[in-house]
Amino acid sequence: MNNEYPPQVQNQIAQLQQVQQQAQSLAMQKMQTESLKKESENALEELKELSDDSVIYRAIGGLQIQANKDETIDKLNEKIESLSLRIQSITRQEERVSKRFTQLQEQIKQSMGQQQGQGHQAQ
Amino acid sequence: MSQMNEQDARNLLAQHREYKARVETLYQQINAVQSQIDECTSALNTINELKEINDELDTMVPIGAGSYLHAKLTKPDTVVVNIGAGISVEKTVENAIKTLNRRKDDLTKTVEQLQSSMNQLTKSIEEIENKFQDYSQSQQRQPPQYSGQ
Repeated sequence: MNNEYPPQVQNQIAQLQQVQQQAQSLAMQKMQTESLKKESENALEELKELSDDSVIYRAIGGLQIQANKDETIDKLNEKIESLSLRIQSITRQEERVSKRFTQLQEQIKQSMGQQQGQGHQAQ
Repeated sequence: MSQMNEQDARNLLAQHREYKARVETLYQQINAVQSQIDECTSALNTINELKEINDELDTMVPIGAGSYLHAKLTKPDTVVVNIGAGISVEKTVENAIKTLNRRKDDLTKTVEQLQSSMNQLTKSIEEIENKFQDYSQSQQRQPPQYSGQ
């Protein structure tokens, strides 16, 4: 169906589709990162409720290594902070992609409008 | 309904496709959560089978490809439970059962919420399909329009 449009509009439509895919990919990354953050926050809550002499293990590769409670809490806090930064970065990228999407949409509308105007003049 | 024009029909078609894709995603999510519930049930069954045993127990550890190594359970009165983010905690049998039951209840609630969203979407899809059926019938009733070219 796109073949009915002039090359310039076809190019803009292809760009729009590419930007749409980028937006979908970013949304997916954000969802996964948020879910990891939520998992870490839940683990942190559960760890804080444990007594100090609780036996804790941390997964390192395929191994479970016995770990200290306070050290594990620190590591989880670091992980949550790093995931929060990642989410912020994805959100900024999403904003940029969204602006580019609106911009391309407007350009396509204008190009189509011009094409229709030329069509009417030709008739 | 007969007032639906071609643009409305296109919009509805796009909405129909989007809803179908969302139902497919929800279906996959439900299956994933259901398999976590099954894992909890399996772990609970194992713990319940072993909870009366306090001495060392001969068992076998799977090493893959249907092969096992002989092993002894040195602490059958404790269970190491994963609490997420790569952290596991050693718990008494009773506490492990409580944790796993709570997790199973949470997952069951999640499945119910996902199921409810899926039902709503399925209903919306049916409504769109009904609108399409009405539209297609109204189009068939209309006499063909010639452009005069």
